[in-house]
Amino acid sequence: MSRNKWIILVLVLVLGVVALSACSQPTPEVVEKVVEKTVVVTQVVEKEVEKTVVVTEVVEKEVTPTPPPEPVTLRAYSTTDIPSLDPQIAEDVVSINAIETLFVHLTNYDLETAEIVPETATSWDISDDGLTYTFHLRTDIPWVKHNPVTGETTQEMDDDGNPRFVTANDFVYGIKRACDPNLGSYYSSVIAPLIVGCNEVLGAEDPDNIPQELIDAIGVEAPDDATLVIHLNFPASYFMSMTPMWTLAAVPQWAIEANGEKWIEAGNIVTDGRFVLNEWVHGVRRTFLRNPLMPKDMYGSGNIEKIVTNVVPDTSTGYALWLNNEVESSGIPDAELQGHLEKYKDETIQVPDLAVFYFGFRETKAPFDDPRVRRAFSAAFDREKFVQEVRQGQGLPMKHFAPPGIFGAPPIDEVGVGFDPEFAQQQLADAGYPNCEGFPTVTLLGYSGQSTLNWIEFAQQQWQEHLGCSPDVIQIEQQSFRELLGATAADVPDEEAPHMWTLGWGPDYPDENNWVGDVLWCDNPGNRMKRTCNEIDDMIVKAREETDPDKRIEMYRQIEEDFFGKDGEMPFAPLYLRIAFVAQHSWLTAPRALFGGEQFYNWTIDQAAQMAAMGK
Amino acid sequence: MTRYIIRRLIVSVPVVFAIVLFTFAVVHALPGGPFSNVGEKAMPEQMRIIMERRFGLDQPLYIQFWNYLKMLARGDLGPMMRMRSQTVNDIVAQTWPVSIQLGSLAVFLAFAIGVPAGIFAALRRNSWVDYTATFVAVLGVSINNIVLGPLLILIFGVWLKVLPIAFWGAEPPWVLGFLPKPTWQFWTHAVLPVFTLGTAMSASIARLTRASLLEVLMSDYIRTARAKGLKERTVIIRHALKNSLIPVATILGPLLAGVLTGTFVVEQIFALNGMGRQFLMSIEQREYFLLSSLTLIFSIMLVLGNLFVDIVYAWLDPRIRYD
Repeated sequence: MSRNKWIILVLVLVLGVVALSACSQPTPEVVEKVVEKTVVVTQVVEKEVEKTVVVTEVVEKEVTPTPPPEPVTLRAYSTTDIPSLDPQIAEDVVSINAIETLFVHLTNYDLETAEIVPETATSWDISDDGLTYTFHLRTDIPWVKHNPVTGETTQEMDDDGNPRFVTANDFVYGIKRACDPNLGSYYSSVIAPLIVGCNEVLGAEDPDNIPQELIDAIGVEAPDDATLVIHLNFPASYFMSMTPMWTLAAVPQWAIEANGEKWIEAGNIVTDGRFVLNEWVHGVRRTFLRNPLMPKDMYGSGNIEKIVTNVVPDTSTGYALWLNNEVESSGIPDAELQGHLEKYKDETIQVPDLAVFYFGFRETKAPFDDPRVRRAFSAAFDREKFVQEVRQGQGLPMKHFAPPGIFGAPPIDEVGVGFDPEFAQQQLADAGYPNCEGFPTVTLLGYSGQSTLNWIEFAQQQWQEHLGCSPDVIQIEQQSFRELLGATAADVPDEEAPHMWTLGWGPDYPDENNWVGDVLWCDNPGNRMKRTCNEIDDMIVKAREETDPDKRIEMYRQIEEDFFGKDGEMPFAPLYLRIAFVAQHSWLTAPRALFGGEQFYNWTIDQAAQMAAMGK
Repeated sequence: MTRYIIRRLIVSVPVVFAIVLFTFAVVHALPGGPFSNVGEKAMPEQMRIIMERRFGLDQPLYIQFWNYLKMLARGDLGPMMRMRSQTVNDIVAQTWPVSIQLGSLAVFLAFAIGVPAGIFAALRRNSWVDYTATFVAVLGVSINNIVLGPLLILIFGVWLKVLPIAFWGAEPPWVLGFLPKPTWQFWTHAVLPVFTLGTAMSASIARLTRASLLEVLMSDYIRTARAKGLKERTVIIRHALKNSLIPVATILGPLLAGVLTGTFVVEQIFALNGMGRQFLMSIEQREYFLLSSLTLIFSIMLVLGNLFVDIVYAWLDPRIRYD
């Protein structure tokens, strides 16, 4: 072998050894201990001498330190990073879940019934005129800051060195902040119409220079640390159902003023919830730890001490992590659903998100300006078959708008026409289109994507089968969601707007007003159906101000009947309530929240079973 | 050569400017804006107007572009309009290193496999070596990343449980701003995404190397070299191989620019927080500043990649002179 080759060979070997050593797994830690032993030796020599000899031995032995008990850890994934941890800015499920984990709210939703239960407010009074809400708050919830480097959670102190606890003033600051138009939060516009003075601030002519007197006039005050008073513009009976919302949460004014937009970052954020933010690697992972300073009675019923949520954008990858026991629960990719249900039926749960989907009708555009045509198209759609065939069972057919779990929603089968082909044919004939003869070409606009196309094609088949309308009569268009919102806006002229479209509605708070009031009410700026005001709208206004719950329930039942019954206006055709199948390991007990963020503090993990599955 | 490089860089400035201007105009022309909707709900008009004014989106487009250029001159890539605790600089600093690490490892793997495979296939033309290499190369090109990635996850992550299913094994802070700490965790997490990304590239390189080397081997100067009595090994290594790599080098520029600035599919499948994912997110959410800045980075990388190719040309082919 030539000299060059030997040199190359030696180089390769050296590089290989270096690479292998770099890649090798860390060896067990060997601890060298110097042990000093004192041995007393008594010897008889020529004369009795007592001699003390100090012997030093070097003992090398492997020491395995006792590992601290593994915290009970929920391993989760989310498809996105957290857009915001700011309660007044948060708008999406991921943010709202994290905020529920880090902050307490004024009140909370009961996990099973979605009724309002105490949280910071232990009790409340409503004035006789329904315009003033007085909340009595507990004052032992500390504001805390967690140091991600040292792992310490400490209570915040004020300038005088006194510990900070959540007070009514923190809520006043939070609620007034929610009225600030510069936050640009969608939910500001949800609460603003209710609270005295909030709409005036939100709609200030010059958002950069809002007069202080406008801010001072917002109807929220704190007579003392334990009392919060909120004044409403009208006796909104549904206001209590909004009080657990994150938008109304207390926030730490001093931390926000000190750090600006960065106040929500790990190390800066000051929180008052059951967990603290230990780590937030943007786009990668966030870790929450139990807040050790939280009053014990607010810990919740769960045993989870640590939550690690990785960002996994692809559900297929998340599902693979679930199969590998690396996460506790996961969504199921459509392609895997049937196989999963056959194999892991016992580890599958159904989670409704209370979003109801529908085909909207432009009421001012012929032929859908005739309610009989709208009723015909709604009644000719077999919702049960749609849910089974197109949604693979992931849904509940809907005949009216508000689903179960909403205050005021009628029982699922009692109101609305639903699927009734004979009724549909009759209605279409009455409208002058027997067997769809002479029916003009209409457009149906859907979201882009294969799944929505499946819906629309199913609808085409249904209308052909039950109404006799050729698929050519229904022109399908698909646009991105943003484009669809733009194309169906109320201010788009009829000639440019589609006749029908697909949309859905998910609730902000559990009350019928958030459905018929915020979607269908004719004075709503988002009146896509272009409804003309009529007596139903008068009833919507009356129902939202009615203080007797039983009367409200009856009124909403009537409103749903007037919209979706046999003689109903039928502004859209309700289709289904979305329910998702979720893969969930048996060692996790996770009661899902119908409203608000997930209450991880009420979730329980059988750690022994979890560890066994992980091979530990 | 130095003068050539400087000249090329100067000429590239208007090219990059044109790309950014075009992208800026196109993204603003997309229907809907960053504040037009909140999830599945429309943003109230009044809120939309306020937020657009806050980020200067109510200004005429040319003023917006001018303001953007002024920000760039200060080294500011712009704000994030929806995730407001972050800036575009933050996003780039977090995600670009991941894409660089993934992309460079994949390119290294692609050349390490592709070039030798192409050479062996060309030298053993019409033998089982050639057929096998060609078959594997066609297979590699045909199997899309979107299929290969989940397949590898299933085999090595779920069934065999020998490699991690997802995530990148290194996180900020980076060594020198973009390098990972070469831990065991890093290498084990890198295997599947790098293999997924590198396979298709190596297959293309192998096919290109084979075809190019075959062509060179039939050229006159190779015949002359053989006629001079040179050893076959010398003919191939000294004379044929270098020239046959010119077409391979041609694809190197766009390849580098493409993979070093993020590969959406692989990043999506393996849950890697790279820049490719940000591209898609910025389009979906109409994050104008992020999208414009990512395009700017991509176009600069493309220019640099092509320049690098020209330099490699000069090294591979002594006849090429730039001065």
